Amino acid sequence: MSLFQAFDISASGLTAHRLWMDVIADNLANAYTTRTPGGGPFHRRLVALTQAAVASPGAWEPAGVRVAAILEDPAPPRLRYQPGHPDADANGFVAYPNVDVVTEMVDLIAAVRAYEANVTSFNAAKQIFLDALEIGRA
Amino acid sequence: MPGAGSLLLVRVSSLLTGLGVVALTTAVDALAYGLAALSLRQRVLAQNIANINTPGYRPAEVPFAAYLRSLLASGAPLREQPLPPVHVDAAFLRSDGNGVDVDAVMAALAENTLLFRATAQELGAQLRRVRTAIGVTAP
Repeated sequence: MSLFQAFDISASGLTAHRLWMDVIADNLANAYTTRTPGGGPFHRRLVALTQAAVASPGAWEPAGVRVAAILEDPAPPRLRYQPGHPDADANGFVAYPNVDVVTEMVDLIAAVRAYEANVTSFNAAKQIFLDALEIGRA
Repeated sequence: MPGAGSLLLVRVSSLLTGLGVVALTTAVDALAYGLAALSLRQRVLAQNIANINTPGYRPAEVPFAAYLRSLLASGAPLREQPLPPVHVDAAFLRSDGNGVDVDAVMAALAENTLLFRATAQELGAQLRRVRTAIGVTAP
């Protein structure tokens, strides 16, 4: 346990939130994808974050955050009546991904802000370390 | 557990105790302990910020000022004391069970950085005074 650990903690936050941003970008890019290798429309993906705390004996040891899993949103696809579409079913409905662009944009803002907050805490740790280096100077 | 910097300070303050500079070592010890506690607090705040979007995460805090005051009042030698305990807050703010208050954490982070800087500068000043007292000029 050292001051450098603060860098690792902030870096884990940066990694996790960057991955979340990647997943959001993927959701947005595939917001209208009606065909996937597995068949059917694209399914929105979610990032499950979990606290990475090391339970050392007798003390709570911070260890940052980690991505536990990338899950698929089980919500049903949005059906839109488009009889001319090549992927329309027998009744003329096309199954579009369960991606809501507004929700994704809101999540994106949350992810970007969290990323920035982690950058701030990284810089704070760096400043603290530089200050500690100054102790011995005349 | 002290890091390399605070180990050095322990060495310095043991040396000073050997020289009989008791009051000064208390100040140096208190400042060194403060630096160790503030760096723990920095890690805990970084953990809170890293888990800003983790469902069910409870923020932690290091209420070290009161703890340090009680340690100083007890008169126990500071360099043998463990770091202050980490207090995990039971309250939560959001519907996903996350309790991190962004504004409070960022404010605490800014405060922590400044406190650390002030403590480090004061420690440097104390050590410079020792240097002056024993007649060693700055390199």
